Amino acid sequence: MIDLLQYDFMRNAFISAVLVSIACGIVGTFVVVKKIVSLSGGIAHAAFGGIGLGYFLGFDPILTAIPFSLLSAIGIGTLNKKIRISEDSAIGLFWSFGMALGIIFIGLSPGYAPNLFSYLFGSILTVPVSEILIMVMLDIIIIACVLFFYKEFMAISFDEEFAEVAGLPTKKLNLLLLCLVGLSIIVMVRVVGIILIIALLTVPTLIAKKFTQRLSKLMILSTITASIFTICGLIISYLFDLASGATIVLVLVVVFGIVSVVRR
Amino acid sequence: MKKVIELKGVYFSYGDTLVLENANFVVENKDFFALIGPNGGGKTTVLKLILGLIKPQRGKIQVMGKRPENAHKFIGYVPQIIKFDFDFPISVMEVVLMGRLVKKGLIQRYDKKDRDVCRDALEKVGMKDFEDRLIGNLSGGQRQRILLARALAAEPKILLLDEPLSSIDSTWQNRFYKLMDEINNEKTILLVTHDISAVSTYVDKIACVNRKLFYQGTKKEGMEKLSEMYKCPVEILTHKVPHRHLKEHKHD
Repeated sequence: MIDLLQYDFMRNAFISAVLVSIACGIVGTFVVVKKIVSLSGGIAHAAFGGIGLGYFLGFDPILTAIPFSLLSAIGIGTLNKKIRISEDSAIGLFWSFGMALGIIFIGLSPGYAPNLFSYLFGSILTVPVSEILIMVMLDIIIIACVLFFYKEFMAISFDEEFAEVAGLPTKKLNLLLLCLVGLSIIVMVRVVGIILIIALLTVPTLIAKKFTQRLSKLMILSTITASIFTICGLIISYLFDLASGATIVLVLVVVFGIVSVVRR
Repeated sequence: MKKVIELKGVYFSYGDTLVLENANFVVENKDFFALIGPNGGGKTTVLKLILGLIKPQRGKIQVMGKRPENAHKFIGYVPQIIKFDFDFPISVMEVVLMGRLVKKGLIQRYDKKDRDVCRDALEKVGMKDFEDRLIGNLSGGQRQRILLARALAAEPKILLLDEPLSSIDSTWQNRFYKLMDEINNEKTILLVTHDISAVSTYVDKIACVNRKLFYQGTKKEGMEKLSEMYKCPVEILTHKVPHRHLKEHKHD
């Protein structure tokens, strides 16, 4: 087993597993307690437009996905208030719009898009060092924002109306939180892919919530849970030659099932 | 300052539905004021207007002589309990600390003074030993007391309460009004309720709202107006205190 770490790609995979876990543990905690799971799914799928744009322009798709995912986070967060559609509908709109844009961009790009599948379904074994650096930076931004705005995020998550009565800029704080969701999606996209991101944003927190009922501890425990089981999934997928992203998600869901039965 | 809250010619509608029509009323300093009326009559709308959560289509609202959106620091708000997700991972202390938000800048952390103020507030509502408990593990009545403590932690000039006794047990109910009486020595209280039994004994002024503002003034005349407004089925609103019982309270 130790041999695994001799390979560079394996070492990168372990490092990215931990980086992903930091993002999904912290942001996922808010996604779960604030009940914005499908909203986050919408942002994740909209980010695919940015990945397609990257292919089309010949940039690293991750770099074009960052502004795309931030814009769709802000878009979903404001559109439903501006043009009077329900949040639910705004999610559907951005979800399909982003995917459609991505498909068009990739169709227009010359040649074959070789890594396309790794963005859709994840490919933790092929994460290059340059993307690990991006993940580190995004993790730092996420941690800093949550450290700074912990009391504000907790307030808008538990009782937004009271937070507004207390004079907090709740609209801006909500958008900031959605932007953090957008950034965490970029961190995760290489590991589990757009289609499975929502599992990483929710399942580790759902598991951790069986063991603690404090927001701060929940973030730490979600991160630890996510680290342990993404690495487990990674090893299993390597040993049995399975798709890494899907294996990680299955491991998480099975663990959640066991924990739910054991800790009723 | 005498006028604490003032509504002048306020109209509000949700879409095409007119909820408030030319509402005028004044709450004066240190009033214990009840806003009553049937469900859907516009009570909560009035409250939201005062809180600055919504803006009127016409008319003017002032809180301590300022516009509601600039009057946050004067107000302690106790919302209805039904809208909460009590599965939320938050402790009693963390909930009460939210009351201190209004005193804190963005990013600034809660400090020892905030915690001390919150402990005092918890003691006032008789929940001193509960600060480390999870809000999810409390009874409905206890949660309402926590929300009251949170409003008190803001050290407000005006306390706004929306149906604060909806799931309170009867033993706490008497203590609640005693506490309100005590708080009323320093603060103005505006209570929104459909529970007329409460109003009959404790508050000193009432206003009745049902799209229009029907009446404002002392509660004695108000009770009579009230039965007019409801076309007399006042009993329907409260099973505990029948109509006739209410009239016996005229002497206070």
